[in-house]
Amino acid sequence: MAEIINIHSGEHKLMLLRNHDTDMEIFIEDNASLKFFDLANSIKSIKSEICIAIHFEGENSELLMRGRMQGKDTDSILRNILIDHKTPSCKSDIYYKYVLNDDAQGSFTGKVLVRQDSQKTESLLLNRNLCLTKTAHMHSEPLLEIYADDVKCSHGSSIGMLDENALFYMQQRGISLTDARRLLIDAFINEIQMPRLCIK
Amino acid sequence: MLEIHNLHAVVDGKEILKGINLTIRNGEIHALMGTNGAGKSTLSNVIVGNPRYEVTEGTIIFNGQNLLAMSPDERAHAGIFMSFQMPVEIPGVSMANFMRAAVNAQMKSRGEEPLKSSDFLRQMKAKRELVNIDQKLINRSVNEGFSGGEKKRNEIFQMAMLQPSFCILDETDSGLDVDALRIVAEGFNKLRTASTSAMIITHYQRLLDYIQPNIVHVLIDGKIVKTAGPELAAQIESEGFDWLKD
Repeated sequence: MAEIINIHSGEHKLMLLRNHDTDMEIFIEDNASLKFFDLANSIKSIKSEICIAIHFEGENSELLMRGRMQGKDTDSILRNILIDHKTPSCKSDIYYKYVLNDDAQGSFTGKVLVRQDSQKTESLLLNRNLCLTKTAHMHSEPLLEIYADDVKCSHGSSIGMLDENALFYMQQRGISLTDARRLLIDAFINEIQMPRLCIK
Repeated sequence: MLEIHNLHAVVDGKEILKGINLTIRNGEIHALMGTNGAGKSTLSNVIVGNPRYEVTEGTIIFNGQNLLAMSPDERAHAGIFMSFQMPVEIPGVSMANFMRAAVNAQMKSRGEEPLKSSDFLRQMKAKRELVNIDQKLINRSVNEGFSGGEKKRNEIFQMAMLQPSFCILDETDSGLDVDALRIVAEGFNKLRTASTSAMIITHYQRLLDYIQPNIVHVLIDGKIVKTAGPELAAQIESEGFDWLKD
């Protein structure tokens, strides 16, 4: 059973903490702004596999969605996300990053559906991933399905390993390999800041 | 003091260095010249321990220590610094955090306590002014979006922070205009002490007008084919390398 949440007008923040294991269905009404933070961080072994469907039901609403996924050992982190633009003049901005160590497995499937009536939609869907070992696996599938003709949408995906040249450059300056890796991993994942980390 | 004996090295299965012998004493500046692909950059990368390069034979001794048995960071702690031909961009890692990690690692290797933040920042400021590098660059990620000249100047700034005893300048002049070259060379000269030694890799006389070498070597096809005084660099500038290829 999916958890159902209605987002009314005004500003809202939602945060999924580690090991959240319930699917979610969210309905966003008129003039609403939702900031959605999704955190999966392995302290003990985790299996975090959820589907999140977000439906725009009203006009002039905004969604900012950020995912910070870190897995190790045999963790499995799966996100299956649907952003359903049913109505005009809404914006969605989705950015997920994964860091996978050891034998961890990650999967990101994100689909932005822009229906025929949802003109003036703006959507950005991005997924970037770092595999720290050759045995970590990442599956990334960003999808756009667009039926309206006056929209601005883009999507992107990348999967890579730590930059050997950067590691060596840091080591040449006296930084140990362990610390150099830590610096690079932090630099990668810290692009996604959870709200509690950015108190201003 | 750096002593290289009968050094052979391969990159991607291909032998590039074919028996290098070279001794650089404290306070000496050696220039290493040679054609493209002769092995100049391979030699410098082997000295600093780049894992892409495999040493198949020979030894490198630095101040009595067997360099080839040491990791790249241990070599840096021993006092070896390389100004990279192409300094790496590291998005997301600020210059301050990078430099602080490097300086603290060096202090730890000497058994000293890490610097307090305020002392570290004061040191950054002093060195930044010494090599004339903009505060704006220090606030950015390592080398990210720096111009060619800014990257090379940033290398000299890092040298100022780490105060190495042996420096390799790997084609520091490549991609620099005359003014940038002068600034970088002056920075190096300011930082140099009487005991600092260096190996300067270059294709041209130009850089050697600013940083005068004691000894000039010519490397061709993985071997040093000629060693002489500074006049050799001038001769190469006018006559090229062909007369040395036999």
